Order: sequence, then C-alpha cells, then structure tokens
Amino acid sequence: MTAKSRFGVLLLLASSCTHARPPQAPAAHAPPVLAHTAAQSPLFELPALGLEVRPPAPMDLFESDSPLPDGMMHTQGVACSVGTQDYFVARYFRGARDRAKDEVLLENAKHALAVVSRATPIKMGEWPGIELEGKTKNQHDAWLRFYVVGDGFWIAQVERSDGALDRGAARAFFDSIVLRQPWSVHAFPEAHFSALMPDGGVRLGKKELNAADFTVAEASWLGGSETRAYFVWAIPLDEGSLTPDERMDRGLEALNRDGNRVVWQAPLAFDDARGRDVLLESKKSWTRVRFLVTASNLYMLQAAARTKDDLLDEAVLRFLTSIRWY
Amino acid sequence: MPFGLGRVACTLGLCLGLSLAVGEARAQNNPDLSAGIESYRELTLANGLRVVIAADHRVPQVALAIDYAVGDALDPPNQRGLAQLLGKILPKLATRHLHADERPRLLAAAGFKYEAPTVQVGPDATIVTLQVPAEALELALWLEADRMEFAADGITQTTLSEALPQALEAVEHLPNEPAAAVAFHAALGRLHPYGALDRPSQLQTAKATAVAERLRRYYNPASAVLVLVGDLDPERAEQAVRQLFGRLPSAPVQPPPAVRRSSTPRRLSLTAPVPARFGASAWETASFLAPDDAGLDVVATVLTRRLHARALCDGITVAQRSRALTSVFVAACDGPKTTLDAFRAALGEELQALAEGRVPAAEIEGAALYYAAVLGDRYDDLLGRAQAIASSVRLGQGAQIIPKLLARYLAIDAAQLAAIVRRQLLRPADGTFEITPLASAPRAGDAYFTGASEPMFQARAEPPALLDAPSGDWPRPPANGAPHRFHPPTGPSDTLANGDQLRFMERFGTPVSHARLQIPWPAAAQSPALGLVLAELLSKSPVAGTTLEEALRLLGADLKIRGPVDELEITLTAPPSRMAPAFDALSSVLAQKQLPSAAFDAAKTSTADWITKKDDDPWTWYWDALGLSAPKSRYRYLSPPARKLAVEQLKMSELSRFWPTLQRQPRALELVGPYDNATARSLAARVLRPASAPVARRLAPNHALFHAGVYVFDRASEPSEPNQAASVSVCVLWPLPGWATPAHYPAHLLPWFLRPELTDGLGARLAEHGARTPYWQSNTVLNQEQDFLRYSLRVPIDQLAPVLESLKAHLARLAEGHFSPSDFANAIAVERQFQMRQSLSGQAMIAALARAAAHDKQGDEALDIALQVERVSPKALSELAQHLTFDRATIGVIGPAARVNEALKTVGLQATTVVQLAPETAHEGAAR
Repeated sequence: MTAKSRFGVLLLLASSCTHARPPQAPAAHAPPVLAHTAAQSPLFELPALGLEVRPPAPMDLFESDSPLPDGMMHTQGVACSVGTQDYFVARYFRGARDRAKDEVLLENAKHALAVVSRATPIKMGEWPGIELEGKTKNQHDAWLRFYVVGDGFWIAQVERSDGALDRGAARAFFDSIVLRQPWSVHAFPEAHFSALMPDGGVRLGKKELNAADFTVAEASWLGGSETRAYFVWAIPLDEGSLTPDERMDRGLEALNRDGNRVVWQAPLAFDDARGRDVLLESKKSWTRVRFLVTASNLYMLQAAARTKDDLLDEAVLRFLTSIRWY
Repeated sequence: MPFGLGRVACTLGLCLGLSLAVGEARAQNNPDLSAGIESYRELTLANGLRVVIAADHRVPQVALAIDYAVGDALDPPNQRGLAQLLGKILPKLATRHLHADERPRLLAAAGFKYEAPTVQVGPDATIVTLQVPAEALELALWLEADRMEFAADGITQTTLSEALPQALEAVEHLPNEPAAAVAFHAALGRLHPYGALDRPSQLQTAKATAVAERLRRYYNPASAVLVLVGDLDPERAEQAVRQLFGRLPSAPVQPPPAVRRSSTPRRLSLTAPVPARFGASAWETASFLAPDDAGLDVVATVLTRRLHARALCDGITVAQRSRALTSVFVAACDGPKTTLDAFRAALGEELQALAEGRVPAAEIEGAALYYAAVLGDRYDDLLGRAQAIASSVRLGQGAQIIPKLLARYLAIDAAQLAAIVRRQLLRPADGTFEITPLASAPRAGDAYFTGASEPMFQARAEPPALLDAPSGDWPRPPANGAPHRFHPPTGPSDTLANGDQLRFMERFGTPVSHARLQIPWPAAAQSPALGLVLAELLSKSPVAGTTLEEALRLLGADLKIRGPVDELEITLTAPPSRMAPAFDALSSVLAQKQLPSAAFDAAKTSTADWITKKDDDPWTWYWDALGLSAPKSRYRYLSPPARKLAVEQLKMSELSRFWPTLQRQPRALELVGPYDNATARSLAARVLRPASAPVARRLAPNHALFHAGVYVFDRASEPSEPNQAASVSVCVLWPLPGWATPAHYPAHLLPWFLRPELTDGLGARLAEHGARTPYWQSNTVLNQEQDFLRYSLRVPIDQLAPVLESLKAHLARLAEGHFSPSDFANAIAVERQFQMRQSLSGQAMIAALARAAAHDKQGDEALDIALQVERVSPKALSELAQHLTFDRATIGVIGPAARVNEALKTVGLQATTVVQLAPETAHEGAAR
C-alpha cells in the first residue's frame, strides 16, 4: 500500500483553505519516554525536506503528487521494512498554499486509522501534533505520530501485518525523528537582493500582505505554537530630502501609532547603507525588524513570533543577516 | 610516364619545395604558444581538491571547469549508464540552500543571465563547465561549491525518471558511431574496464537513495580538479576558492585498474540497424597525453586522407580514441565498395608505407600542422582551455598542457611518425568487428553478440566513506566587485593606392591564423551559375604539380572558396608559419592566365549537387523570399530548375572571357593571426595585387530594392505526422537600420524578444490567440544592401492565422514598451556574453571583419557590439519595434497557396506574388 492511498482521506480534508490561525495552544504533553535502548542505526537525512531519522533498515525514497481542489498536494518521504513491520515517515506539503487550521488537521488525522485506541496530543518543539494507536483498515496494528508544520504536516507510522507491533523498535524509530525546518536562498531580481527564508511555510505575497506598491513583499508563515513568520520587503523611496535616519524615525513613529512599542533599537551600517535593528512588542506578538535604507530603496527583513524568547534564537539572527544585494 | 610514377615524382617535387619553405618558416618563427594565458597558479586544498587558476584577460569572462575522475568505467555492475544519468541531472538538482529555479533568479538579481552548466561524461571523467562574466565569478563559485557539496539533496525518484530517457540515449549507441564502445571491446576484451562499456543498462532499477549516496561518495573534492581561466585576479580567486571549497567534505576515489588486454585477437560479428555494411580494425595504443598519443592523431589524419583517395568505401573513419588508462586506434570502412578484406589490405599497405618513411614528409607535416590549428581553434575558447587544463591535471600532466600539447603537434615530423607507427600499429589488429545491417536488430547491449559468454570487468564498489561533516553555517553568496569594461582587439585597416584593402587583427597565443579574401564581381551582368562554378574551378587549379586544394592541405591549411551573389570569397585557415606559402599558392592561382578547362565538367557536376542540397535546407530559403521581393536586382529569385539550367548552359568560353576582368577587380583581405603589423602587411602583399596594378574602381552594383509584401511559394504539403494538418513555413523579414550604426544596436536584442518563454511575451500572446508555440528561429540577416531581422517559423496550416495574429500583437506591445526590466537586462546580458565569446574566436573575428568591410566600417567597430549593446536603452528598443509591422516586412510563405491566402486574409494580408514549386517530398517534409 502506498503512502498516498493510506492517507487519501487526510489529503482531502487537508485541502480546505481557510487562513491558518494560531492554534489554541493544546497542553504541551511530553512525548512518550524513550524506553528502548537498542544500538543506534545510521542517521538518514533528507535536508531538503528537513528530516533526520535513524531507521532500522536502509530506506527508500517515495514521492507522489495528489490533485486537490485548490492545487497539488505533494508527498515525499522514506520507507523501509523489517520482517512484517513497515516504517515510514513523510511530509505532506501544499506548495506554500494556505491550509486548514491546526485543530482541523489534528482532528482529521484520526481518520488515518480505521480504529483509534489511543489519541494523545504531542508536540515537537513548537509544532503541535497527535499520537495515535489502533488498527488500519486492513486490521494491522499501527502506531503513528502526526505533526502540523508550515503549509502541511508530517506523518511517521509503524505498522505490522501479522501480530503485535515490536514496540521497542517502533519507539526507537519515532524518537529518532527530528524535523528541521529547511531554509534556502530566495532571490528577488526585481529588487536586486537575496535573503535566506524558510521553505516549508505558507507563502504570502503582495496581495495577501496588502502591499501592491512594494517592489518586494513576501512572507513565509510557519505557524506552530509561536505562529512564527518571516517577511521580506523592499520599496522604492520618493525623492524627498529626508536622511535615512529621519526616514527610519518616521517609520518607527508610524509603528508606534499602530499600537506597537519599540522595546529596543540599535543603528547599523551595511555596505554603504544606513540601517537599524528594532525589537517591537504588540498586544499579541513580538517582532524583530532590520531596516536598510539606500539612496533609492528601503529594505526590511522582519521576523514575528508570539514570544520574545522565540525571536532571540539562531534562526532569526541568520535570517536578519542573510540579505545580500547586487 | 605511367600514372603512378608521375604522381610519385610530382609529390616528391612538391615535398622538396615545401620542406624548404617549412624550414624557412620555422627558422623565422618562434611561435608563442601561451594561448594568451598570462599566469598559472596551482594549489591543492586540504580536502584534496586540486585547483588551477589561470589569468587570461582577453575578455571580461571566466570559464570554470570541474573535472571529476568518475566516468562510465566506474559504473557499478548492472548499472551501466549511472555516470551518464548523474551527468544529466547534475545541472538541475536543487540543494538544501537553493531550489533549482533559484539559481537563475540569484544571478538575475546580480544582473547576469544564468546559463546552466554543461556536463560531459566520458569513460574516465565527468566534467562540469560554465562560463560567466568576470564580475559574477565569486557568485558562480558559491553556486558550484554548493552544488558540489549538496547536489545529492535534490535527487528524487522523479528527477531520476525524468532524466532516464536522455541517459539511456547517451549510453546506447549504434556500433558504427564514434562514441560506441564496440571498438574497445574488440581491441581490449571484456575484462578491461573499457571493454565492458557496451554491456546492457539496467538503469530503470536505480533507486534515488542509492544514486544520492553515489553522488556524495564519488563526486567530491578528492576526485575533482577545479580550473578557473579568464579575466580574474589570481589572489582574490584563490581566496574565494579556499573559503568556499576548502571546507567541503571529501573521500578519495580509486580509479579503475588498468587491466592488460588478452593477447588473442578478437573478431566480433554483429547485426545492427545501420544503413550499410561496416567493418573496423582496432589496436590498443598509447594512453591520453602519453608521448605517442599526439603522433597517433596525426597518423589518423594522414591515413584518413590516403584511404579516402583510394575510394574503397563510402566513408572512412580513422581515429585515435584517447583514454586515461589506454587508448584504441580505430580504422573503419563504412559501405565497402568491394570487400572489407580489400580495405584491410589497403590499410596495411598505408601503415607499412608510414612505418618505412615512404609517405612524403610534407604530407605528414601538413597533417600535423592542420591538427595543431584545429587545437588552436579549440583553445581560442575559454571553456576549451579550462577543459584541457582540467583533464591534464587529473592525469598528472600539470596545468600548462596547452603550450606543451601545441608544441608537441608542431614538432611532429616524418621520422617520428614512422617510429610511432612501428611501435603502436605495426602488428595485426588487436580486434576487428563487422556489422551486418538489419533493420530490426537491437541498438546496443549483449543482444549484439550471439552467445557471448566472456567474463566482464566489473567496477569494484567502494564502501560509503565517512565524509567529514561540514561545520558551521554555510557562507552567504559574496557581493560583487566593480563592473569590467571590454576592449576589443584592433589592428591596422589599410587601403592601398591601387584600391585593395587589408583589415587585420593581431591575435597571439594559438598556432592558427585565419584569412578571407574577397573579390567583388564586376557589375557586368553574368550567368547566375558563373560564380559557383568558378569557385569549384579555382580550388582545382594547378599548383606545383597538384591542385590548389591539395597543395594547401599539404601545408596544413584548410581552403574554402565560395561564389555567392556579391563576390568571390576565399577563406583560409592555416598554421601561422604556413600562411606565406599558402598565400603564394593562392596568388599563383589568382594570377593564372587560363582557367583549367579540363576540370570544367566536374566543377559543373559538383555545383549542381550543391544546388540540390541547398534546396533541402529548411531555414535558408528566406533568401528566395528576398529574391522575389527584389526582382530587378542581382538577388532576383531563380527557381531550382532555372538554377540547374543555368549551370548546364554555362560554357567554358564564358568563364574564360570573364576571368581577366575579375583579376583586375580590387581585393579585400581580412587577416587574423599572431603577427605584428609589419608581418601582416608583408603577408598581405603576397595576395593583394601589386602596388603597380592599375587603380581599380570598385564598381557599385545596381542598388537592390527589397519590396515589402507577401511572397507565396505554392506547394502542396503533406502533414509530417498522421492526423495533423499540413504544415507551412513562414519567414518574416523586417528591414533594419544599417549594421554597426547606433540605430542598429537594439536589433541585436530583438531575436531575444521573439522567444516564447518571456514574461508576458510572445508565449502569452500565443496562448491568448489559442495558438501553439511554433518551431521558430530568429536572427539578424546581413547583406550589402539592406539588413533584416528574420523570424522564421513552421506551423500546421490551421495555426498560421493565430500565430501571425499573436506575433502582430506581441510586436505592438513591444513597440509600446511592454517588456519586463529583467527580460531586457537578460537580453543585454546574453548578447553581451555571446559577442564577447565571438570576439575570442579567430573565425568569428574574420567574419566580423568581413562584415565591416562589406558595410564600410572599421574593424574594431565589428567587435565593439558587446559594448554598444550594453548601452541600448529600453526606449531605443521600443522605437525600433515600432517599425516591425507586417506592412513593412518581406514575408515568404511555403505552402498550399489557396489555404495560405485564406489565413493571410484574417490578419489583413494578401499575397503579392505566387510562384509554383514542385511538390514536397516526404524526406523534405520530415527534415522541416
């Protein structure tokens, strides 16, 4: 049975396209405690997807595309078998299109099994998930973990066609899984610069960001408990007599008027441009912005999250320092 | 005197004369073989990557070559073609940092047009090459370092299955093709790594994870050589290479073992879908770049010419197939006219003659010099240089292989060659193979060889090595330096007192020079066949006991004489040291009082054949449309039967009367080579008319006027595929402002804007009009009277109207300035890059000089296009596009006239002239 047929129901349900909202912060249950201590198998990586796993046997890559009413759902993952026990882990992603809310997806995940005997909310870092045990429609014992990440979700599943699962091996497999968000260079030829951005998120363009006048307005919304998002902006400046610092001051005043509070700011110079790093607090979120002002353009890299701590991590710093212009 | 004896006597006479000339020339010239490379820097990084940085400041471009010592011979058992498959996918793979389509966007952000790297896979190596503007070097290095470390990230089952058909095509050759491995099988046996390369492929079973592991394990710095050649600062380039490549993980790769061939000669018989019987003999010979390897190339050239003269086969191929472990020398006969035994006997006689020193020294030296000139042309190109250096370093021969190799060919003489033949080839062939044609036979694989059970070489699988994991974050692409300026080379442009002209460009470094002599036809009306037949006759004119063509071949020179509408055009490619005797030979023919009437009939036959072939050319018939639009000019259209009739009716007496007039015509010489101005002028004096010659007035031909209109060639056409409408061919020619004038420069960008894939461009208009993308081609067409922008296409007849509507709408939008800034920037980048590459090639320099001569421009203007194009504004482009309307164009259509007229009406056009053509043959239909 292919991964595609296993999760046909999920694919259909995942296609509904309401704008993703912050999840209602389910209780952060810790994943089951690691009890199995078998010898570590070699690490298998799919960096372009952001997966690291230690499988019990060499894995084969599989992939498929499934048509949904609003476009394709892509599936990519790896699978292996040891005896009658099958293992797979796959990412289901929607080409950066918007998706249903977390709670809808988590609820739909239960349809992956014909009989659900246990359902436990779980998390991996900031990604909400659910752990399920039960029977497949073929009456095989199955255990799966499901995480909502970016524009889609991940499923890791172990299934046995005869008898009870080897739970130790299954747990070792599950616990070895690390989901890393893949990042890549995104170039913006229209404004002659590039920046690193996360790949797995919902992509928002000028229309969604209400920024038709901008040369570049793009965001990657990752969701999760932090509702983390990264924005890139570039806008041509009018030929006024303001200095770069005056322009940035005015920008910050406008942000203040919109209900933000400038917590901290620091000037910076990048190549020949003046710039400023700013930390902002609003009612529901925190934002870090790097402004860069040249003679003709304003560039902004912006990272937003629910908590301040989440904006101080390495990924945000990497994002803010990644701009290169040409 | 019996014929044979006379031939020998003539040849010996010629040999003596030429040997003296060569001695003199060699004494005079101590050729500079640097190929224009000013410095080399060689280093090996800690991870094993060997690096060569060579500075060559001729144009602001840099070529990159990455040569991995992994080729077909290392393919794992039952996965024949894996190296080819990896070669096909390598340029397109995404990495964890870059999606496949992000590379073009990144370069576009930096203001450059992305060109995907080219990957060539051979038995010994996989070589990735790329040429970029000098300012983009660091960005390109970052992209390639990212590809070297992380390309395996992007391998999925989909990428493999998409590339599989191309990979299989690259693996499976007909056994009579040069790339086929059958010759190696025959010469070396199945136990040799090269002898098992025609085993069947089972690539269909390749798994993505296994292929990714293979890429990581084998294609890494320890197996690679990185070469940078071009306009770079060695210090800065080294710093960038160390920073970007120095930290890549690495694991060494073992080359395949050199296995001795089995001593028993092999005789293979096979059936394959080849057109005619084919037989070949093969010998194991010196490996690539070994001392005898160059000599064997020359042996192959000499043997090809001598066996061709015997006319025993329809086609002769003799070649040294050079490889790293060992090479194979192949002599093949395609379509034997008698028996293959007769061919083998002749081959044996010629080898014996070479071994005993009975082949004239001049013939051997001519072949050696010709080969050096061929290499010289190849090394004009930055990519050619980078590839040669990379292969040499991989084989442990050092970076400075280009001067070494050129010197090696130039030093080859008859005695050396005889010794090489005795050492390498004077024994029974190590293997022979014969192919019997059979249409239903398989193309490749074991099925060729009935009952073959010989054990096969199988590459040893190397266990996955523990690659050092990279540490830290990946560096970001660096910012760019200041833009470069481009200064094209220049030389004197002399007009002599008698009206003759010399246009010269000096070009040092490679042992090849190019020349083109143009003599305009007198204005007097002449038969349209006269120029064509005269060109044939001149190449067969007697010189020192042989023909001009043959005499120049013995000098290592390549001669082409053409007689197009405007002038007699003689093109020569020769070793620099031989240009003087070559000009002397040419000059003696141009001075001959009478043309060789004995060769007249053969020249007519050959011309008639050429006309037939030309009629088959699908993309050049636009000259016929232009001819119809200028009926009173010398370009006037002649139907194919009329052309053939003109050849038939041409008389020798007509030519003889015409010849003295032509000899009095002014001459224009374009010359490119490693000469100073004084030498160039003295060379020119040999072929231009003496200063005392009367001043020839350049007779202005009647000015040709090309009338806009639609010119239909009525021909019933069959559909090329069942259930499809019949096709029509269309060419649209818009007149342009004069070449190399400011108003013309935007025209260089226009072909780019006729591409269907541009943003909101022609493709979008085609979609709006419900039309499919046609087969198309576009360029600028230059002639003396008028330059044109050409757009040729071929479409099913029912698509003609919507395609023309789309084109009209697209051009109207271009005229209004509707094109994206990035497309405009790309068009400039592409044209600039193309023109700079052209300016490196001797042949392209000659063509540019000739165009300059025809348009009364200076030579440096001809090579200045790269700079001028850079200065074109979007406004200038849209202004030029305002003139691209159908009512100003000369439009030619080949197709059924009635249906063509219907389609034309829908776009407001109607046929100006209709001429009948013979029905299209099935063969022609397929070709178009």
